[in-house]
Amino acid sequence: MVFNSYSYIFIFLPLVVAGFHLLKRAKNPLIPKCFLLCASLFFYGLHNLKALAVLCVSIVLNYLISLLCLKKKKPALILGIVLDLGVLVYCKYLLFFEGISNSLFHTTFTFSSLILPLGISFYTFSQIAYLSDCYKDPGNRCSFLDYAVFVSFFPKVTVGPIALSTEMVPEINRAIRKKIDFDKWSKAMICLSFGIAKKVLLADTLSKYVDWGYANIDALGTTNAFLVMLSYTLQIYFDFSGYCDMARAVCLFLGFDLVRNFDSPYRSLSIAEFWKRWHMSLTRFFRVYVYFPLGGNRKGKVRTYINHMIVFLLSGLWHGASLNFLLWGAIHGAGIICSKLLKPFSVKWPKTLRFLLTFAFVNLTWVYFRAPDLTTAHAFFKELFTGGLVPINIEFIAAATPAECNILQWLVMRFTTLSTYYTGMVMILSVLLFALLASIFMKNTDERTDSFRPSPKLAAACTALLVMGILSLSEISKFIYVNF
Amino acid sequence: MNTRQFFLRTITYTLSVLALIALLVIVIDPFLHYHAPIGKLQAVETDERSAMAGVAKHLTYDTALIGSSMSENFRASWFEDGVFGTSCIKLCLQGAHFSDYAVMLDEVCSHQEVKNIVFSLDNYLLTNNPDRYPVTIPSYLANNNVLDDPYYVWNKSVVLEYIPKFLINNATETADDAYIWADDYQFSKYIARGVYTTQRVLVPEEEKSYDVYFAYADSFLHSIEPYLEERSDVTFYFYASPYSIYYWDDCVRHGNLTAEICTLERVYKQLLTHENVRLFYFQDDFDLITDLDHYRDYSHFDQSVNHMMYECMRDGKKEVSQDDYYDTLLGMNDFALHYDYESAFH
Repeated sequence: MVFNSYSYIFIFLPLVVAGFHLLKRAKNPLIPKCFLLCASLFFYGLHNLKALAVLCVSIVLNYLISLLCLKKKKPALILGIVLDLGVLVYCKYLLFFEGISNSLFHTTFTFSSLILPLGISFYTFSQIAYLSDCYKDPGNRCSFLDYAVFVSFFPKVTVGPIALSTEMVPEINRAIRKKIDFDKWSKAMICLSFGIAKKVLLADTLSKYVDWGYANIDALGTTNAFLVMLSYTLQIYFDFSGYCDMARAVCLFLGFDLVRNFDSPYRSLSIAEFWKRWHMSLTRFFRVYVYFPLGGNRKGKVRTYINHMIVFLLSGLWHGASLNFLLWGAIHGAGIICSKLLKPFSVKWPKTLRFLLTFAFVNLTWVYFRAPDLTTAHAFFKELFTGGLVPINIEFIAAATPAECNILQWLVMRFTTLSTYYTGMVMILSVLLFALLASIFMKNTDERTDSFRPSPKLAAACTALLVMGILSLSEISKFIYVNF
Repeated sequence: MNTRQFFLRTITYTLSVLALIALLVIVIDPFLHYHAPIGKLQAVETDERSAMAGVAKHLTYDTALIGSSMSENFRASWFEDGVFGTSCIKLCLQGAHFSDYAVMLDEVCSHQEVKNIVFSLDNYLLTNNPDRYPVTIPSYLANNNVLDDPYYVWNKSVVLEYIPKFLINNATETADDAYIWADDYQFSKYIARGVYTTQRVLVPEEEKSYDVYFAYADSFLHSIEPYLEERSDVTFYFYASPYSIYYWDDCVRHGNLTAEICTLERVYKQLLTHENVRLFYFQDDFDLITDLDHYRDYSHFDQSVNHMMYECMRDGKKEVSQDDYYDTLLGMNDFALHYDYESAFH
């Protein structure tokens, strides 16, 4: 089951919210927690029962190891981390290592992972964070039920954010004791409507441009390559932040809040700022559980830069088992280092220049993120820089015209002598321009909920976005970060 | 306005608008999923893959034309001549394979009033692995499961594109004009040659074994024969469309000629064992297939050819029987084998 489906919106979500609030009335807080756990396991199990078994075993083992960590036993912490990373490597990275080994040593090893559990990268990091927190401070311990609810919690188990037990478990416990809060429910409606609209109206429309572009690299030229690159930059933001908005909506409906994951990252004026605004829960994980233990910035400048590079290489690998992601991480690591080295000078540069440089850097690096392999990425760059200024490809127009505009194209074709090429081009560029401006200048969803004042205008806007979003669910698409 | 009012108003507005949209889709029903067109509305062109199941289900007819792009230029009204019957529907899908035809045949054969089914027996149906072509008709339109109806009643394309198209087309054309594409294209030897030249195999391939497609042909027979037996009261008109000489050039260059002809022989032989089957073979109309002014590529022909095929099926011309189907295919094979294809490029 995915968030952007009728069964989720009309059946699963209302049932979980209603069930949780009804069961809260029972004096025993275990009942609503057990209900949440069952709902989460059901949600996860619909994807794959074997993956559900992996998740359950992982939860039990990690909890047992965490009991040892509470007694300050470092080997237990190391065992837990090795075990978690071992499962992650086995499920996600064997094929990657197989490819590297076979190409370097001309061997013919073939590994085969049994399954790739959905969201394994996310729940592995959540569990490592819990083990580490328990080791550092036994006060961070929670009950097994709380732990199981925290790890398997359906809004975040597959795509994050990487929440910490120390912030989520107390929130859930508080929510169980509280009555229905219409302020939170109203904010949940805002998150749900904006989240679904970001995903199905913007990200899915932009994905058509991107999919066409990466399937027809030879036909791009500079013009089309630029549009495809920009489209992916916007697609991945609206896709992932749309998911996070919808995940936050669930939590708000249940009566608590979820860690924020995005803060309009494309407004950033430096790479360092970008990473404070993009996938904030992952950045926090790497900062607290990797960068600080490596020494952070306390061991001199060179070591600081090395630590940054290690963090970003790991971040690249975390996103996927391929050289693309590794290179993407390395470039961002280098970007962060340059950003820090240049900081004394760059702060004096005009903001517009800093914004443009950062935005261009992020755009270009997303090419490595999106391309299936390095060869494709380099072919894309070749088109981008040497393809020449060509007209927007007519097949691009045909493939990428938003469904909302099909009727306009049909009317133009049927009742006028105008070329649908130009009308299609106007529509596509309008969508791109709107998405670009929205990602930079419009309030993001968290800002909207933070400054929420109920008004009929906002209710109408939420209604319009929800209705348009629901009407778009008939074309089900995956969230990009499900792949990670 | 307080937060409670905001929440309740947003929920109420949303549910109300969704209910209204669902009502609109159910009443207008551009894909005829729930009912035949109401009032003066007709089953005009919308989206053929989405509309065909509904057309087959809710219209009244005694003749059904089932086929691919080869059949789209037929007018249903031609077959309402009293010879075939008095009411006809056209169920055509571009590039359709048997998985889609099965959806339509299931529906058509469940209609007791059906007397004739006119089926386009394209060669590609018999020479391609049917397992590689799953159903393309949306399942939520082909079944009666109300649980998947949200995909129809809350569908952006239906609301924003197909309801307007359905209403506009109802105002400007008739159901008889639906899905006819011949008016939108030009047909000439220059166009046909230009299109075919871009795909012509330069180096001829080795001749394939004569039985290379038999498994696919048997699969087709295995799929179609239950319908022939179940509705023995219905006359099934199978017809093989007259592809241009370029098609046969392509066949020869791919080393397919013997294999295709042997496959046709295998299928025709078995089909003709059924008393309710009539088979019409137009591929050996040599004057027509070498007159490239009727074509826009190696297989698609203009509407006059469709009309000729209709007249032949009505009058029993170009029909093959158990006695002569073999010789007919032998003649086709000889012609295709010995034709001077280069003359078709001058």
